[in-house]
Amino acid sequence: MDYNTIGYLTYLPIVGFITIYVGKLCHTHGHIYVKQAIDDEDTAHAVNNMLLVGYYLVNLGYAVYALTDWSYITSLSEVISEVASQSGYIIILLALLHYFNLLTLFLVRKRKLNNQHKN
Amino acid sequence: MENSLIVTAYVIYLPIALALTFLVARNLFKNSKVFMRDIFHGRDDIAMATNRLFEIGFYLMNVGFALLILEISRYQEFSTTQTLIETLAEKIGGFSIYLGVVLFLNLFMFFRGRRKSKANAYQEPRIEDLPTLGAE
Repeated sequence: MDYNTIGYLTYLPIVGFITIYVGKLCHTHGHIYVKQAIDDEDTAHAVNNMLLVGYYLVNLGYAVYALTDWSYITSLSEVISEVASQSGYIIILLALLHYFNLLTLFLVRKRKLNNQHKN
Repeated sequence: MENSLIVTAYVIYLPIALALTFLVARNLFKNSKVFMRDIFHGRDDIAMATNRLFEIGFYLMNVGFALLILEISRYQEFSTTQTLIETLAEKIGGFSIYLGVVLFLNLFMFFRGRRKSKANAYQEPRIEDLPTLGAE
């Protein structure tokens, strides 16, 4: 087995685990926010589930797609550094998306509260 | 061109960086609950959910950054214990300074959020919102 394959086989479980775990956590704790934005309980639940599926598709898809631009690896130290930098890149990307989502949630909540105040 | 010293450096660096992230995150988000309660006016469910969401973001960002700066260039002169210690010191020191900056950014955000939410809560009612005396 060459070094690149070893790298892929460590990278995929790490990134897959982190993406799925974070998705689960956001799904659980974001439910209350979705419920606030959408009054109907059933619709809120459905929207939350569909958001989770969309998140999985985009992030897992990109993580697998990013596999194509790895460089050729020739030693153990390069395996570690390549796996670390590639998963670090994906994780930072997840963090940025997450903060963007938080910002959106805050803005939606604020607008909703403002509208309630007016009525 | 196998260089086992670089592997040693990685094996030392990774646990230290991850442990630092974990300790800082645990401390920060244990103490941020009081801010969150203030921001959401004592509504515990949404305060705790927000706290958890921010914790996830903090972990993602710092673990990602720790992994991104791990790489030691293969062209660097790396053959003695001295260079090993120097490189490790540079990486770990740099990472803890970065963590400190992020910690203060988060604290600043909590203080700002609390101030804003207090300002909103004690807003004077506008004249047109007040019930008019003598109206049906």
